[in-house]
Parts: sequence; structure tokens; C-alpha cells
Amino acid sequence: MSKLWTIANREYMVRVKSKSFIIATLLTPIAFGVFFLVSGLIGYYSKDKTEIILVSDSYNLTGEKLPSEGTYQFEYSDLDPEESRKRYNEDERYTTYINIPPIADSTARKVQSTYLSREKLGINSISRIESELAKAIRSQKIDDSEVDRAILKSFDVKVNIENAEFLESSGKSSESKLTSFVGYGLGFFMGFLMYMVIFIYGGMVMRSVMEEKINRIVEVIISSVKPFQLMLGKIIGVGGVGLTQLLFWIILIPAILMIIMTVIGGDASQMAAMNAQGGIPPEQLDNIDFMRVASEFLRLNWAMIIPVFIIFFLGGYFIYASLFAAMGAAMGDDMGESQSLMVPIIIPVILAFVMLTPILNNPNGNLAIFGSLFPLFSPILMPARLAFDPPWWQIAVSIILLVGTVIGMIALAGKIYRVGILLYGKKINLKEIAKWLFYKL
Amino acid sequence: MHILSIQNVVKQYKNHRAVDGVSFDMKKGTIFGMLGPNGAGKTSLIRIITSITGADEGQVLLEGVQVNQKTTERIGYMPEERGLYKKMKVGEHLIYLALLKGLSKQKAKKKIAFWLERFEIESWKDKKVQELSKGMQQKVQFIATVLHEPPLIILDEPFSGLDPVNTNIIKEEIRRLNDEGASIIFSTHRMESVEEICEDIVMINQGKIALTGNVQTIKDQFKENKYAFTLGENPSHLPSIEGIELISNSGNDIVIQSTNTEQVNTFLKAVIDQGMMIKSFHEILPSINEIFIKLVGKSSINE
Repeated sequence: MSKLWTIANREYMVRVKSKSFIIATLLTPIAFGVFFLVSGLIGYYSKDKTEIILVSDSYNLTGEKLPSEGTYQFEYSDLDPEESRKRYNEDERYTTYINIPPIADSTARKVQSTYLSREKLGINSISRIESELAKAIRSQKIDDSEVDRAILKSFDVKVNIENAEFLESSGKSSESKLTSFVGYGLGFFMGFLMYMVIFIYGGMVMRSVMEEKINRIVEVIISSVKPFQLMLGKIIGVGGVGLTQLLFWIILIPAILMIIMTVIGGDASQMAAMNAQGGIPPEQLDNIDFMRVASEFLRLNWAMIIPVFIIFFLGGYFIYASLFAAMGAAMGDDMGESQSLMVPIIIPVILAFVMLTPILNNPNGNLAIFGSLFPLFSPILMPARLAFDPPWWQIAVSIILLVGTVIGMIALAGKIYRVGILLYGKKINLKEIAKWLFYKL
Repeated sequence: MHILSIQNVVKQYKNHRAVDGVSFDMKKGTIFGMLGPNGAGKTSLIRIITSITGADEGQVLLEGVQVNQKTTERIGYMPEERGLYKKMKVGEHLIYLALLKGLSKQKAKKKIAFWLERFEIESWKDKKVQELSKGMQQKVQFIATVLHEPPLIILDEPFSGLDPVNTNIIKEEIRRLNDEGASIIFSTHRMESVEEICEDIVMINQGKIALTGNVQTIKDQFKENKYAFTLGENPSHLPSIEGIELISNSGNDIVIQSTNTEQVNTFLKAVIDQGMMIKSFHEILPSINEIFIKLVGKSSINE
């Protein structure tokens, strides 16, 4: 046991003290910060510049209701269209000129107007101006028809369907759409994190095994400890490296983002936050405002999610890291020739990743149940379902299958590993590896 | 008292029997040569002794105890395929390997200081392994092998890749460790390097023992009672004595064969009486290499 610890400790210390680890651990949060900053700045500088628009509306369709403030500042011309156009041409202050012609039929739903502009208007500007015009014309039409605005507003019906079970059990009115939105985000994040962890740290285990085999230290080591101890110690050590790195990132990334926000000030941060949201225009932000997302996020069952996630995180890491270790041992110095050995690792991970989105869309469907129980997929797919309150028995069965698979996989990998590390100069295929499982040593 | 007792050990791989019913005992405190061509089964046998693999049949007793994971701490093994972690510092690396052999950290540090001083390489302690030459790395590997003062030291081709100066340094250390009481197995396919340091040997060929015993006894056993002379001048004619057969006579060098040592003396006397000077005279003993070839045939060595 103490030797296992000695090995794990060396594997951990060697990596944590290496320059590449320190650089990757520090540079990743900085890269996040730079990305955040740059995307914020891009958002800031690509903001539309103020347009001063001269409007010729001789029939007063808009009822002088167009705004004279903001990004799009409208100014009414009291001249006829011909004169107005001349005025636009002469006065450099105006960036755009719009002519709204009369409409024959007051019930018509289409208003055709024309514009002139010093610079070609972007699609975004055109649609913003169109919507301003439409809003003004609509408002004027309502005034003209003398319809009661309150009645008109009551026609605007919104329907919300809620999960009755959830409503009864929590007593709180949930915002189910928001819940799925938050759950989707969290689920995707956790699934993707697992996917990355498997490849980054599993790959690290594999390279380390190959290195030991190639530089021929392995026989020296296994004359002191069992190959199994060496393999397990390595997996534990590299796992520790992974946890350390993730911990640093969990602390550093928000810290750096916060520093950037305070340095630039609230204005830029809001903007950047909006940008991070995928540039959702303010009107739509009504539906998903940040406070509600945050409160929904906090309302998730974290007491269940965190420990279960950690179990699946460790389980997934151990399953795939031991597979990577076995393949690394079989591969040796001819990495290029033995790429086919990677297939049994890559296929299940990719399959699980492909299943991630359909499962998030239907988190309690048959695919979701299968995917989150099958132990090669469950480390990626069960965490993705956690925000959607999967039945406890499914979590329990999945954990039992996972733990059993971890033990079985480590034992299996150990058998491949101990044969592989002492074998040189032979091209290995999967059939050969299958035979090793039955070797007695 | 035997430090090591190999009893009818068999190791079967898929297509061949690497070790095929090998039995021998090794006396405590000796330097023991394990000889045989490449692929004879030496490394397979060593891996069984060091518990890296298990035997299919038979048993291996170290100090009277069946070898197991615990007995590995009583063995220092320098494999033929040996390496070090390139990015570790020499001092750290030696501590790591010593910890794996069950030494405490304090004791390991003390021993490392001792050995670095003995090889006069204290300045290497904080160097990374990759900064050392191959020969220097071999010295570090040697220290790692003997650091925990194992009663049994196994060296597989210890001189491969070493220059003559370093070969002699390591040879001296092997003798010194032996004087201090360690038993040493010296495995090699280069027979000539064995004769001067080994007391006993075992010759392995195709998984089986071809021959085992004391080096001098074996040589006596295989000698052909030949004697070589070098004379001061070219002899006009040589005395002819009963029981002495002239094997060769090329210039000043003469080889005779006789089972009767008294007849050899008579022959010598007759030559001297002829007024010739004898510059040298010695009995021709076969080299281990010749004995091996005689036993197993040249073909199996060049395989």
C-alpha cells in the first residue's frame, strides 16, 4: 500500500512541478479572460453608431411617434418629399432619409417605403428601423381606430404548462422552461467536462506508460513492485493532477473574469455578459433574465448532484484511464502503427458524446435510461441527466454497474498491462491483446 | 548454505519453453555466472527469481523461502533493458527507487550520499538524468541496484555499453560487494568476461542447463592434457618419448598432448638436454567459450 502511494506521489509530483503543467494551469484561465475581454470589446466597438434619420411622412402615418433619442434618432421633415430629399442631400448631419408614401387602403398590412443612406445600411440597422416604423404606425392605427388599448392587450395571451408533480411536491411555481434551460446547460457542461477529462488525462496516462516502456525503466520498477501497483499508482497520480488542475481552473477562471469586470467597469461587463449570451437582443432578455436563471440554478438539488457527479467523474476516469494504460503498454514505441488499438476507447466515448444532445432533449426517455445505465456511457450521460431529477433507483443501479465495471476494467487492464510492458519489437493487434487476458504469469 | 535454490523450474510461453526444468543451487557469498547465448532463457529465469513472472512448475527459494513480492526487497536487479526517468534529478530518482525497495527516506538519503561519494559523483545529485551520458547513467543504475544492500544482486549484462575504464570500475565494485558478503549473479552471453570474476557458473542453452559447477573444476574436466612450449630457437628435431604425442610444431611453438605428467617432465628434460632454451611452458586449459561450443555446437550460438 505504501509503495502504491510512493508511485502515485511521484507521478503526481513530477507532473505538478513540470513547466508544462504550470503553464497550462495558468494560461487556460488567462486565455478565458482574454477571450472574454476581446469578445466584450468586439461587442462594444461593433455597436451601431448613432443614425440620424430624416423622415418624410407627409400623410402622418406614424403620427410623429418615432423616437428622437437613442441609436436611431428620427427627425420629421415638414417639407414635401422632393424638398425633404434635397434637404437630406445638403445637410451632412443626416445619415439616412426615409420616405413613407401614402397607403390607399388603411387596412393594408404592408407599408412600402424607400430610403437613401450615405453608407449602405446593414441588415441589422434595416430591421431595427423597420421595427421602429412598424411600432409607430401600429400605435397610430390603434389611436385612429379608437380601440381601447386595455382590450387590445388582453388579446395577447400567453400559455404556460407546468409539471404538476413538481408543483405539488415543491409547492413552488416552477418555471419549467427555465428549469430545462438551466438543466440543459448544466448537463451539457458536465457531459462535456467528462469527455474532455477522459481524453486529456487518459491520454496523459497512456503517454506516461509508453514513455516508461520506451525508456526501459519499467523492468527496474517491476522488480520492486507488482506491475498492477505501478499501473494503479500511475492512474491515481495522474488523476490527482487532473483534480488539481480542475480545482485551479474552478478558482482562477471566475477570479480572472471578476477582475476583468471590475477593471473595465459595469458597463463593459454587462455588455460582455450579453455577448456571452450569444448576443440576445434586450427585448428577448425578458424571457431569460439573469436573476431568474441564477435563482433557478441555485434551486437545483446540489446535495444530490455534487456527490453523484464526483462518483461518476472518478468512475469514468478510472474506467478509461485503465483502458488507456493497457493500450499504452501494448503499443510501445510504434504508436503510429498501432492506432487501431485506440478504437475500443474512442468509439464508446464518441458514442456517448453523440447521445448527449438527444438525451438532454428528452432526459427521461428510453435512450437516456439506457445511456445512463450502460457503464461505458454512464460517466458522461448520467451527470447530464442529474439536473432533471432522474429516479433514484436508476442512479443507484447505474452506480453499482459503474463500480463493478471500474473494478473489472482495472483488473482487465492490469492483465494486458503486465504482458504488454515487457514485450518489445512486436506489432500488437486487438486479437493478440485478447489472448493476453488468459495468460498466467 | 545456499542463498538461492532453483528447483525444476519450467516456464512455458505460447510457442516455446523458455525455461525447461532448470535446477541448480547457488552458494552464499559467491559470484555466480549465468551463461548462454541470446534467447537461451536467462532473462526468463531471472524474471522468475525476481517475481516479475511466476514459474509454471518448480520453485525458487531465496534464503530458503519461496520467492514472492516481499523477497524482492532482498534482491537487487539490474536488467539488461534498463533505463531511468529522464526528467528526474539523480538524487530524487535514487530516493524513489530506494523507497520502492522498502527503504526509509532517511536511510535512503544516507546510502545515496555514501554511494555518490564512493563513485566520486556527488555533483550529479541535482543534475537531471537526461544531462548524463549513457555511461554515467549506468553508474546511477548500478547504485540504484545495490543501494538497499540486498544479499542477492543480479546483474544482467552489466558491462554492455560501458567503456573499458567504467567496466573496470564496476568490476571492482562487484568484487568489493562480494567481499562484503553479497552473493552476485552475473548473467551474460559474453563468456570470456566471466572467467576472471566468477567462481561458479551455470550454462543455459535452449531453456536447459548445459553445464553447471565450479569454473576451475569445469576447466579441468574439459582439458585435453595439452601443453604449449615456446622455444628460444627453431628445434632441429624434437625428442620422441613414449606417451607424448606431438600435436603441432610451427616454428618455435610446440604443442604436445599426454595424460601422463611424468612423461611431460621427461619430455621437457630431453628438450633442455638438447641445449635449447625454453621461453615459456604452460598447460592449455579450454576457455569457457570453447567448452560451451563443444557442448552445444556452434550452430545454436550463432542462431
